[in-house]
Amino acid sequence: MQLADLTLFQAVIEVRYAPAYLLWDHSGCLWSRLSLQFEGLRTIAAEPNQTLFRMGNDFEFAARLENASLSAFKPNRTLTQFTECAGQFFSLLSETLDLAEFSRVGCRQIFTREYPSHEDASRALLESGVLKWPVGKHFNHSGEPIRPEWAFRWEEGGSGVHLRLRVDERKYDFDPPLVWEGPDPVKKDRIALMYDVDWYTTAPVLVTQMSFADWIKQCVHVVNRDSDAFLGGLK
Amino acid sequence: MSAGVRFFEHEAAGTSAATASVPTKPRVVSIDDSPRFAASSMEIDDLYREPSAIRPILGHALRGLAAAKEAVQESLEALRRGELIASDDATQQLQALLPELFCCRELGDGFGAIINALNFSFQNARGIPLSEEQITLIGHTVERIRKEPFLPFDAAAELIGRLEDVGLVVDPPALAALGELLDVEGLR
Repeated sequence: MQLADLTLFQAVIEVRYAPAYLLWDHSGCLWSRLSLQFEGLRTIAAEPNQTLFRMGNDFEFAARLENASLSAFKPNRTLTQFTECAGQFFSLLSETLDLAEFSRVGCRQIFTREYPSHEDASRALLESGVLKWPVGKHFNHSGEPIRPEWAFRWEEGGSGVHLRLRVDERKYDFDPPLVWEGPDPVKKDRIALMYDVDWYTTAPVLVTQMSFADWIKQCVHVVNRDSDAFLGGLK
Repeated sequence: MSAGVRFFEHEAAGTSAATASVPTKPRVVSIDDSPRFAASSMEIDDLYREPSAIRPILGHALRGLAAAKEAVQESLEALRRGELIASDDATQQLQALLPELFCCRELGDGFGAIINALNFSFQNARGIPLSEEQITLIGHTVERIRKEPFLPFDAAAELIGRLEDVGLVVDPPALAALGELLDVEGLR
């Protein structure tokens, strides 16, 4: 299996900072300025410590007391629009909340490949050879392993990477109200093999050092270039 | 009506992927998280460690500023050894880098303002060698703009003010000539 065989399900960029109490005063200012830049931004949650907005069904912006994030669901692989939104969002955020430094910046890309069952997805991961599964009875238990998981983290020179490969499940559930006249409710379980790459900084980053456009582009480039070395064994 | 979509479950340690609707609970800030005690900030070369993937203009600026930093270092070392000509050669190398760095000014107003000020400082010196104090301060300024290439104009203006404090003239020579003219005409 190669990275090209997987679908980019979610991309997230998150910044963390020392408690930004100005959020309590300047939230309205932040979101009204962002509304001018992003058409169709709508409120999902507005609480003192967290404000959450969505644009369409694929972009989610969150500003919290100690972190802020932008998530994109099923974005294009080059993350062009995501990068553009991130640049504008975090620039306005740092200006409005008077942030000088991010204690951590992380860019996470989650790729998936769907399988009909847990067993199939688990088998695909185990057959890759990244995990060893001895045949027979172990710890007094026999049977097939379910939902295997493999994770690896390494850090160098102020930044690090956290890689995860696991079998996971998404549940879509909808309970209609009384006298519901829409389509019949459906329940869906999606079983997927998930390849999750989190590229993050471990040293504080000054706001004046950060160009989100360049940093995200760099993450995308590295993930595209190096992932096949890890996925090469997957069937 | 209740609709629920549960995305993948993730560990809390990494970049948060799942949407949280629970408000953040207040917590005690550890000494590591406190800005007062925080570790030194990230090195720019560690932050952009993949030069082929960043904008060429940023890569070019970082390389140019690294060369400028080296030239300042060389100049100061030569000066301390008493080799005035070698020191001046090194500052001339630095001066030669500035027009190209000025082409990277789209990185930010602060970046453009500082490179411009450095360039005019050399032009206004009219070939007279700079003092050790002036070269040292130029070195600090180059180092700062390399570390923080997206410095806002206000912070850049403060750095430019410091250059003026050590006797460097950071305004365009034409402006100085205009000033002289206004003085002669008694209009200033």
